[in-house]
Amino acid sequence: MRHQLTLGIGPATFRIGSAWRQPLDQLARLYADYPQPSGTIADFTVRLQPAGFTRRWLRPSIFITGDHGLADAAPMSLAHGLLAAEMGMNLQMALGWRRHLLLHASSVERDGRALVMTGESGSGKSTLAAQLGERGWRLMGDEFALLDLDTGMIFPFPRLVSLKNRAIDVIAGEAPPERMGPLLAGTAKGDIRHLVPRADAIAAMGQGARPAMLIFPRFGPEAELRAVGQGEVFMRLTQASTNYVALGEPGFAALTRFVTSVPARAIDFPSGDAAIAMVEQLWDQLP
Amino acid sequence: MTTQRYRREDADATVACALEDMALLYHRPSGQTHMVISPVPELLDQMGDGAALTPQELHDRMAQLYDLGPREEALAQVEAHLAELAALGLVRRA
Amino acid sequence: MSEPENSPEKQDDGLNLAVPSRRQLLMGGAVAASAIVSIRPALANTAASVLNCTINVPDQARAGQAIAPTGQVVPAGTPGSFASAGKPFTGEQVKQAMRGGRLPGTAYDQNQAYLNYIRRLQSGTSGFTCYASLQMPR
Repeated sequence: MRHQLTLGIGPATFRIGSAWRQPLDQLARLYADYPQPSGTIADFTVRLQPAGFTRRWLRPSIFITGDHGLADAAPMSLAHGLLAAEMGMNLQMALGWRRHLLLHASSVERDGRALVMTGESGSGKSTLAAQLGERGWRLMGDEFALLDLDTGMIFPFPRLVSLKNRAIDVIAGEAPPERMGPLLAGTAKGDIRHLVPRADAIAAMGQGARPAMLIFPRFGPEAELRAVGQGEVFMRLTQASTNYVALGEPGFAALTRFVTSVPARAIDFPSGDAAIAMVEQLWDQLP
Repeated sequence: MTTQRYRREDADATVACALEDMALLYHRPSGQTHMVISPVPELLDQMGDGAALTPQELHDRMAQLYDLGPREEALAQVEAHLAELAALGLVRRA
Repeated sequence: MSEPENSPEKQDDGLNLAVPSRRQLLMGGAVAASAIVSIRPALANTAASVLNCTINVPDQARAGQAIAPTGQVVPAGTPGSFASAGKPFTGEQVKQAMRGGRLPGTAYDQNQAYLNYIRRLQSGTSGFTCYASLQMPR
């Protein structure tokens, strides 16, 4: 394709091709501090291609595809090209990554141990991880946590954090402006801005951590804390994994090891600060 | 009451994991994972010697160890569970 | 499920000591008859939610045909049927319609017909992954 960019995020490398230059320029700027992948074959190709014959020039519209794609993907405007590239990379991971069990979860690390937070879009897992990452924890990822099939460690996928709507202002208040991406207004998920992880998180993107706690976060009017039964945890994690079934027995072994060894809590919180306080308290109570 | 016999699949066809509140079975031939609660783990356990059993025979084995309640109802339940397990491939019709 | 211990052991229990003490097993009754839940692939869920998705009614391969009130695809002009939708619907639009709203640009019966079509989508038909991603429980 006309324009190309290669990126390495955690253990995965992506070659991104685009019919337009602008999204790749934006990506290159935001990922400038990430180590250049050592010029070998990329794990995945992502392609931002015109959604129709005239759509390269006339009301430019991007159809996201690559090694893996979904035929029912809605096209996106060129103004949201940065988001399209990010979604393209997510899609490759979700559909194609087999080297780890993929969990739809954020994760942060402290003292060699990982906190994993899982939930639907809007549960607060990305914003919480971003905030913890600005307050002394190492951000490992906001969207995917990679569970090692042999060792049970959690490995990072520290892409740009995708902040939506109110979360933008929250994080913009805590992170320096040079690590914030452009405002993408009026996307299907509302307003979005990206946060570049801190330099130490980027530098450590190859380092895993032993999972020590799993949290199911949720916005709620009252702060609340509940234990979660292992059966429910297992069921919810299979739903949060895009490749559990495809991995077969190694997936079963890895997920059962995780569920039987990592304590789980559901927390409801009325604010980010309340959530962080609950998390810190739970973490301090770990043996 | 059926005289159909059922036999458990080979022991290494399934991998089991006990959780606090239920059991998980990974069935290798199908690649499927099943979450199971009582009395299924106990039924499978009683078939562990590989014998081909009718629902009645399985019921009687279970009754040695557990209080299953009124016999007629319990027999019907055992038969229903066996049929379900057979449909999933976790036991075979013998 | 709770399984209260039954004590004491019956005197005539001649089985060996390895046998667990007698327990009551809940054999159906108030509990659902099936004691097995099988894991269904979550692929459609998470992967499709990673992208915005759309559903064409009917899928583009059958764009010229019509939708019966039951949701089946029928030849255009079939009495009682509704024309295919002009534009695809987004996942968000379908989700809110499933909750009792209305797909944009549709009258009541037409909306019902379209929703029935969507509910009948099967793996392999365009739109299925989008629909499946809307189905996963919270």
